[in-house]
Amino acid sequence: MNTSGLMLFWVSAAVALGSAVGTISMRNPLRAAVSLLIHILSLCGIYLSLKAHLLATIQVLVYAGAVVVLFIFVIMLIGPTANEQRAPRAVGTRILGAVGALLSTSVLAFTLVRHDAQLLPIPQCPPGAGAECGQFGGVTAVGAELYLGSMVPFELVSILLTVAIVGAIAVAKGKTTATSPKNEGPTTPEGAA
Amino acid sequence: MDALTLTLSTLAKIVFIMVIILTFAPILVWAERRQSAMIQDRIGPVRAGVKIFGYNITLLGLLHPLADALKFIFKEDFVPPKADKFLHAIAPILVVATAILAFAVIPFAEPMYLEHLGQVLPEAAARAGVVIPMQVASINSGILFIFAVAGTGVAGAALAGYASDNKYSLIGGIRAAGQMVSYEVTLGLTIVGCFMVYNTLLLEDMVTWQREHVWGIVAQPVAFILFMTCSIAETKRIPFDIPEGESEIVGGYLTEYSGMKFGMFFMGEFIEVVALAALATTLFFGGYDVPFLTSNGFNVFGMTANLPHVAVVGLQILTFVVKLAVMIWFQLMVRWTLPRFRYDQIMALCWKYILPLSLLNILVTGAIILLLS
Amino acid sequence: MLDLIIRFSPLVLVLVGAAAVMLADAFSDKGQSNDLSTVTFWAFVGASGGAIGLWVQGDTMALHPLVAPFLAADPMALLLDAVIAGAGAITALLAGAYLREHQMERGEYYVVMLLAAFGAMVLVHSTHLLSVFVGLETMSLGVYSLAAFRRTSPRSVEGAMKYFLLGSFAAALLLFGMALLYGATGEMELAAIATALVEGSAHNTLALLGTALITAGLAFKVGAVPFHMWSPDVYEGAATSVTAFMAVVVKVAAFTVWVRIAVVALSAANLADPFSGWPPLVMGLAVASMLVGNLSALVQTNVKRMLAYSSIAHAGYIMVGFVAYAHSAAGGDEGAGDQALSAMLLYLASYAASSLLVFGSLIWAGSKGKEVVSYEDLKGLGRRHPWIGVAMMVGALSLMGFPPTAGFIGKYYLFQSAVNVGDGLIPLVIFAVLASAVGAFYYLKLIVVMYMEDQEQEAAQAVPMRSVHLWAAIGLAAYFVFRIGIAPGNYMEIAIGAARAL
Repeated sequence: MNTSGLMLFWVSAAVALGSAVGTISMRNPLRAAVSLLIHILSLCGIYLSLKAHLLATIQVLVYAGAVVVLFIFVIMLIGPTANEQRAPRAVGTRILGAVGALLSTSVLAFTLVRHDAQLLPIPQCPPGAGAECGQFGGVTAVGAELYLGSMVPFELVSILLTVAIVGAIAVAKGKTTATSPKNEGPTTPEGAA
Repeated sequence: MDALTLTLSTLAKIVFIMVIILTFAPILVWAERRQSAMIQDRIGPVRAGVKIFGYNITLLGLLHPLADALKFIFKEDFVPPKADKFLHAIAPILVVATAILAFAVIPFAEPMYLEHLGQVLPEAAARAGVVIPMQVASINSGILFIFAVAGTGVAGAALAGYASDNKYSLIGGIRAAGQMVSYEVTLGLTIVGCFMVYNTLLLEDMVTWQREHVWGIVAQPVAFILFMTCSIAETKRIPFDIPEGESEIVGGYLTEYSGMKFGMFFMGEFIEVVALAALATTLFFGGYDVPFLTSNGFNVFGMTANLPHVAVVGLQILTFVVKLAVMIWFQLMVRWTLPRFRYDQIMALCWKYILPLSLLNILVTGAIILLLS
Repeated sequence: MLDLIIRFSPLVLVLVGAAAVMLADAFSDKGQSNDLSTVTFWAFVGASGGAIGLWVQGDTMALHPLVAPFLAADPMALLLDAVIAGAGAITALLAGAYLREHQMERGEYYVVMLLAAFGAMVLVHSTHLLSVFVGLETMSLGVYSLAAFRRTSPRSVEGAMKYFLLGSFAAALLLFGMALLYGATGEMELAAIATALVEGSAHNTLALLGTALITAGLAFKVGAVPFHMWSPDVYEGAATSVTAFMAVVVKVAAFTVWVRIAVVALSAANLADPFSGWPPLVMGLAVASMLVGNLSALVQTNVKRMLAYSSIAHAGYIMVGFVAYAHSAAGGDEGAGDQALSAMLLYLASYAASSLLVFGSLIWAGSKGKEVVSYEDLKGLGRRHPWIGVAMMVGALSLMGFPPTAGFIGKYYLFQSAVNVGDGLIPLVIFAVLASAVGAFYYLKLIVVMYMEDQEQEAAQAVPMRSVHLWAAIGLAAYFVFRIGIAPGNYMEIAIGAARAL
């Protein structure tokens, strides 16, 4: 990795860590969501430093653009005051949680520091080469891997999405039919548009 | 290309883009007011003026945006006492920044060869020297970058609605989030047909394809209509302005904003209009393409008139700006022609009509490509 | 292409069934009664038949190179396809009876059920971490929403919510473990992971950590202690037909994929070492599950909760077979290893049949307005409604492991395979037998309550429901309970064949 890449990595990593801590420690749910947004953007920076351009873009597109916005949407629907009732947690639980977190982090860190396996090099581009180069993490490379190499899981994901959609409908419909059988959602007398 | 040229040329391009955006935005304010006045048979803004030697110079109302700007800057920046100050402040920044970022990948002319500026551009093999692509950044994922950035901007409106500590703002924010997430999904699908035809995600390659074949609007007419509908919904302007909906929820998520923060939302909206025009131009109207203009001059059915490289590039930039203006005019016409839709109508339009239609468009496009190949 | 469709016909048939149910539900008029459960039943029967047909044909041709790394069509997958599809068929009938009786029948239920079963079947075919995860999520998402299907009941929603949150956490653990394993070996295909681990080109500490996380994630799915918190609440809250589906299909699929990952990918000497790799981890899970499951089941007053804890205990018994496999593999005794694996598979099948019988009888005993959920409701049931009593008694005896039922054969074969491994596992087997003895107590309590106690006069008595679907389901389940119990011969051969081919 070159110097600018390393710089990008360290800055992104630092921001990612800080915002991750922010996400779980913020009292205000919406601020936590904003922290998450920042975390996702810094993850995007880490992907860029690994030359995974498409993944970086998709990361922002899906997580920042859709997931976080949905989080914010739900937080606003539930109401801004929903954060005020917090169950007081026992000191023992907290200490246990802290010890657990510390333990698992140190085990992971220890393992990763001792990592001695061969690292695969990332294909480098000659300086000044434009979008045609760097296909390692680019649209063409990822597309080929996705549609040719991993065709089977890709197709299976479509079933996964189907079951998610039908399942969501099944759960959501259960309530409307139970409370008011005749109510079929918002009325649209003259249809839409 | 050495680092200095790269930095300088990139800076120059950024300045150029910013100038376009920042001049277009105030002019748009004026254009919108004048056009609405014409549509509604009014006179429109003509009062603001400067008195020089007893003459009141009004420039057809062009000074009104200037007065607006002055007002925004000097007005008290009021933040509701129980508002979340931090989120209240970053929301408008998020909106404007993401709107401007979208311009980074839009090409506004063909690549410029500094050494051949004065002469007719030679054949590709004989070209030499420094070449500057006429777009700020060529990003591998191309148009996805625009979607990614625009998607992040959605959070701005929602955060503004929440941070203001106002019921109307909250409702507006919720509406904005719901509407924009829905339309963003669909927006991406509407132009998949274009990607299939152009066989690329890079905007510069899309323009090249359109120069060599036909403009996108001929190749993908359905996609154009769907895309325009969705992207107008994304700008949250009438007829899709329920997040603001001043006759229902005061000013939606803008209710508690004043001063320059409001000004930024205001500007953000117009920048989005320009961005959308630029994107539509690039995707469907050949971008900087001038009919019959090739890299070394006009070529009308075999009759050629050679032009120096610099003139070609200049003409292309000019064309791009003119096309931009036309697309903006079109959006203003829509804005002042249609009434506001209801929330359920907007959602139904998105999920029940545009989404299936764009899927159908993808299917048909794929079938045709398969047949032709 | 046609070749692939035939090779994966069980999966394809389930998908076709889901599509058919979806279309039938969408294009039918409101209020028109559709017998979607029968459609679902036949789809599952078709899938089961397809699996059996493929087994008989014994095709060993290589798969298309695009498919081969991700899905296998080996005997074990086919066997478990048949088990899952068979259990799916019976639960489809149960649902057809239960949901209609309690006026909850909606087409989505069958679609989600078919798709969740599809996910389970993908899981048993998976030979690649990607397809494992996608299959697992397909199954889990389906089951989460089925658990929340009874939206009017707060218990159902609470249970589903717990299941969903903890399940997502477990999925995250699993995914993290997979990522570490990939980081350690650079491979995602199970066989290739094993090669990388054996050849020593992998990073071992990282692989060990990944193994531990994967084990934890899968232990959650099978409901092993200490990852069992969700299961009593979910079992109790969910509609009984859902509980039956969950208890059987999820457990079977999760155990199968666990076996496959452990046997194929994590077979390297240092990971599968009986004293320092995953086997001691699994042994700990097994002991804890048997202990906590059986002891907690003792004190329950709700039958569904009791069955939840009993299913935790059963997960513990099955893991005994797992440990036996690891020990015999480490000792180089392939025959004993195959026997242990086949014992697990057979146990899964017999557990499926007996659970379905018990849940079916529970559904049978209640009707609209009054469900049978507690021991109180069961009092005197055996004398008032002898047929239900007999069905439930047979199911409970089978879960207990009483001859001549399937449960006995399953347990016997399982414990015997563990003893065969050597003296090292004798303490574990003794513990397991003692645990089953504790288990016998609460199963017998069920029977005692049904036959020897009387309900108080003023208590509302549950009226049994009447449904052809239900009777068919009970009949099928009872057939398999006795079929495996009395003449297990060729089922054992099939299980051994499947284990040997792995």
